[in-house]
Amino acid sequence: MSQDEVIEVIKQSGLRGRGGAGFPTGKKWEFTKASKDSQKYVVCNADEGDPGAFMDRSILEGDPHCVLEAMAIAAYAIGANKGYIYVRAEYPIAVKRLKIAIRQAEDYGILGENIFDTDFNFDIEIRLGAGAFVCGEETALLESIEGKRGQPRVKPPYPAQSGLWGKPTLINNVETYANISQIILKGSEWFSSIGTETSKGTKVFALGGNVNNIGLVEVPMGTTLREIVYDIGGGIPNGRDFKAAQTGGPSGGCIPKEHLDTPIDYESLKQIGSMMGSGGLIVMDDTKCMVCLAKFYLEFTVSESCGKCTPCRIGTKRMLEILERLCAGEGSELDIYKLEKLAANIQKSSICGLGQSAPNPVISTLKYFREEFRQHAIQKECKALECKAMSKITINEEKCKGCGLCQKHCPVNAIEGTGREIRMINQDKCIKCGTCLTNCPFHAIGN
Amino acid sequence: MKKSLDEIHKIRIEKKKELDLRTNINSNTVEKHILVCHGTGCTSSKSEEILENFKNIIKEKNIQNVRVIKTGCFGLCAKGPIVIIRPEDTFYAMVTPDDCEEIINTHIIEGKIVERLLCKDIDREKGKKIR
Amino acid sequence: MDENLITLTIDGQKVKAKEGTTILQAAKQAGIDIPTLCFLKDINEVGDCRMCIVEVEGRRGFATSCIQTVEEGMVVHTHTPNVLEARHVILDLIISNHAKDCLTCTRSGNCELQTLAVKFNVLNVEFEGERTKHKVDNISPSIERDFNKCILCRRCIAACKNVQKIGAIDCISRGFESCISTVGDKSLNDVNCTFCGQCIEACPTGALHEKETINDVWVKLKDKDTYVIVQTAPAVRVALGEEFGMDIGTNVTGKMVTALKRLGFDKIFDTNTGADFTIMEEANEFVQRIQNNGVLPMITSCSPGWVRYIEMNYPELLPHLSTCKSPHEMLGAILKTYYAKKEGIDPKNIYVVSVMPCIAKKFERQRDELKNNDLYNVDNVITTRELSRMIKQANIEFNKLEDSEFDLPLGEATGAGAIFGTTGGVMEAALRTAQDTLTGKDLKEIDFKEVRGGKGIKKSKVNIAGKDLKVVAASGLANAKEILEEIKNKKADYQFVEIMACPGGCVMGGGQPIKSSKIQSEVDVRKLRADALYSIDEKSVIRKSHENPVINKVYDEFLEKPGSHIAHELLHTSYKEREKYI
Repeated sequence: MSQDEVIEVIKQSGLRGRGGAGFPTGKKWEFTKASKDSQKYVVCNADEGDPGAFMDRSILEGDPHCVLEAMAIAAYAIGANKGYIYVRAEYPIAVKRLKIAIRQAEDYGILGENIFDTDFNFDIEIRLGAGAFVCGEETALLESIEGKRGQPRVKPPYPAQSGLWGKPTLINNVETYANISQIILKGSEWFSSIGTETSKGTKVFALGGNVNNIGLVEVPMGTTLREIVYDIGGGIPNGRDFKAAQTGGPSGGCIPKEHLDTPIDYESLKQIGSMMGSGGLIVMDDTKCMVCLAKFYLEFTVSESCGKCTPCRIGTKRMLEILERLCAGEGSELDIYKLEKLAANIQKSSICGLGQSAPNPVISTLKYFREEFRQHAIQKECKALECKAMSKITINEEKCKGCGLCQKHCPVNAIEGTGREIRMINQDKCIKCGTCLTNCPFHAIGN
Repeated sequence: MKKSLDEIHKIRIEKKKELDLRTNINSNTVEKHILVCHGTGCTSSKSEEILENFKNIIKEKNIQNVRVIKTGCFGLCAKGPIVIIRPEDTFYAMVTPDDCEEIINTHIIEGKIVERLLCKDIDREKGKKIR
Repeated sequence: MDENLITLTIDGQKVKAKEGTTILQAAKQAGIDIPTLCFLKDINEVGDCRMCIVEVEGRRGFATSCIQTVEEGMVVHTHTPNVLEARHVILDLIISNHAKDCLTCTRSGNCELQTLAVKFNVLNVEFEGERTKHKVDNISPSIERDFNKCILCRRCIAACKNVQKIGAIDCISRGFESCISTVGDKSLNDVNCTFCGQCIEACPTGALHEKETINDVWVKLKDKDTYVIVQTAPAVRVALGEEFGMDIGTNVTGKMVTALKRLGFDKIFDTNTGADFTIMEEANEFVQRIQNNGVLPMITSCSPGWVRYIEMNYPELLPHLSTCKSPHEMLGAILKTYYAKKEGIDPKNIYVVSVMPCIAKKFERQRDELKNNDLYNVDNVITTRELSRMIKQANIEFNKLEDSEFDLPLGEATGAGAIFGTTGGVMEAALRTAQDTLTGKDLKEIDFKEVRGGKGIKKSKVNIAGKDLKVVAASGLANAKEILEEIKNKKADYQFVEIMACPGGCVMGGGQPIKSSKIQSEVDVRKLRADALYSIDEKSVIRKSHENPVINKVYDEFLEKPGSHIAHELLHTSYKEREKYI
């Protein structure tokens, strides 16, 4: 196959970037090939950082060769002779197996000079990431490979024009590469026969949270959330109700119950305010507080922001402070307005994808669970009982039989009363751990 | 060591036969494969020890036609370590290193399934879908 | 040229710009001043602060106008409601994590953040919240860092790392905790900082400033028993006026001297005279080295930041460094010996204050090598900026002052001394004297234009007394490094090298009036100040150091001749290898 034929097949297949944004892979290859330069690079982004996502890790550990092969194909197609795999140092097994795979491929002559007696040369080096989430952003990743502080660059120029050391660079995600050999082998029609109109092929999700079957699932694009949660995931444990699912990790958004039947593909997810992301899928039941959820993801982005641009560095911190206030029962309605204003402006004015998408969890939870935010802000109430500061555990005097079990289990001796007396909770001492709640045989303790 | 395109092709055909053994469930095949997951989740819950135990027991008992193979992730990390026996495609979950002896004795030698280790809360239809 | 022009629309105006022009530059051409904060022309063009965002039709999100280049047919809007709201929010956020103690800030009135706050009429901070807390670093004799005022624009990093190639500071930590720091979070005093002060000149806020020592001057001025002598460096007189609203490059020598008199200094002398001594000694040392096969090339030693740099980074090349003290130290030494004796003053009662365009001089002053008879040659160094503050505090209306002359005898200087303040000046002054010394004639061709101008490295061949001399003048430590590497690798065939730590020389020193990013991108500050110095030289009656009658008198009466034993004792110094990290 000629270089253009390879690119054509990838384009025809409709494969889109699996790293999150869903840029058509074939187009990316075409652009990088079109950039005129004697030196080009192929980079594999294996800096999987979303909390709860481990698809790339399983691919690198299970079948590192498929990534190497795809990188070689890509290098051939765009005219590169050097590749880098940027993998997190926290994946030691993946690194070990990648090293073995590279050595095997070099031994067999699949990597190296004059591959299969052609004039095509290609070798691959591994670079380890030191744990910064932002290094999964493509330009920050390039900076990091160059040995600099992992901070994103302003785009344009895109890596396809000016990437690693200013040279045209093709950068794809592990999962994207994992699709390549199969497409070449089985043809673009085979691949594009799977999936929806605009999103082809399959997608691996790391299913987690309040769901019976936790783990990795690979489904054709267009599978509905309901199928994933109930058929594959085996439903919600303890007979609880589905409240929402979070896709796309800290850059994504939540999908509420009313959108359970949304087919999962790039466009549909975007339309309902979430995103594909790298494929983390966390299911939440009705004991989860959405303000806390937004706070959790903001905490993550605040600590992972590189600090380069103002909106992300200070803006996300201010958003987190507001969410902390809301969860502590110290918020006000004005805070919700401030949250929205900050979110909108951070989204528009940050340099890179991390900052631009950092407000997404807040925007989407506000969109679907606004009432919950208002309850936190105005009534100072957390219906899901997750916000400890606002919940007050009390003993129902009518139900209490004075058995004293709660007293026995309380770790801070906050429960008062002796003998068969009705017990009382000393609110000053109570740490709201909920131990009494679970140990009361008469369901007499509640919020 | 450098291989030509032809040689690589030959390797592929050979390896394909082995893989077919795993995918085509055919009880007539003589050889059994014990697949032990070596993904991160399973490795951290001692799947390396499980692999070693299997190998040692097989050597001790001098059992023929059984191969122990380490594999990549099956996806069901929460149920790990996972052991799958082919060709009959038995799916054992949350296996501990101490279970190896029982699996060899009951499953490989006696030919009976170790019910207590079977992955029960995934029915076989859906289980396939996951893989 | 015309075919490379790109047409775009900015705020409804058709603008033509060259290919590769940024949106910000193109807008400037059309009279549109997009606000910036982290941008510093040619030094820091990274798009961190996000103040310069604009809307480009058909593009998702905002464009970063300080980086992104113009495209044919582009339609740009610089003040849509969306852009304005985003800018407000960004500015608000920056201010929310800023110390906001404008009343007690040295940069109040000349602060880029303050200017923006006024422009956007920020009346209250909407997104107040936790502020990062930093300890103030005031250990070094030259620089104080207060990162509670830092807005993380990173201009200082760029100046240090890219312009000077020192890299004493960089960003550490992530996200909200990010801050600018040194290796191991040490004080600047204890790392590879050379005290050039280019970071101060780059800083838009009051996070970086010189260590102020004017209080000591006030106290000494009031003390009847102390004879306070002030001397001013050449570059000060062409920049001081800027602090009083005058044009850049205005020569305010006369007003400055009057002001110093009003401040109550007992004598006002000229560092230019010190520079003439330096030339006498340095030219002599150079001729000696040539005639006696000494270590060549000889490198100048007037710039204390540069001296600190070579001591830290190339100690093996120290023998190349001229042993001459810098001009103000020479003058200080003469003041406390020759002058004291002549005037009958106990040298212990003399307090020499140097007004310098430099903060490294504050460090230099404290060097043990720069002592004679147990007395420091110079007792206090204040910057151009500090002098302007003294003048303001003394209620002197500077702009209305009459001119007056320096005191005699050590206020009489030549044009050669004046050009010390710009890159290539020391070289030119030394060549004027060396030329006459070697030929024994009074030559009229004294303009060495090859070593003038703003280029970082100026190599030239000059013919002196039938001998070809290869000389080079370098300014900025990145350029210094290049020359030193050549010398180290034996690839240099120069005989004489002039090096100044600051790009452009002393006129652009770390103690000079700070110019905003906007001014720096619109005018060539270096050229305006340097031109003023060359014009002082041109108008001078005497333009060669060795023709200065005062100099000759001091040699006759006291120093004997250049390079004599006593000259060595008073006017020369030694250097030592210095640890980069303490």
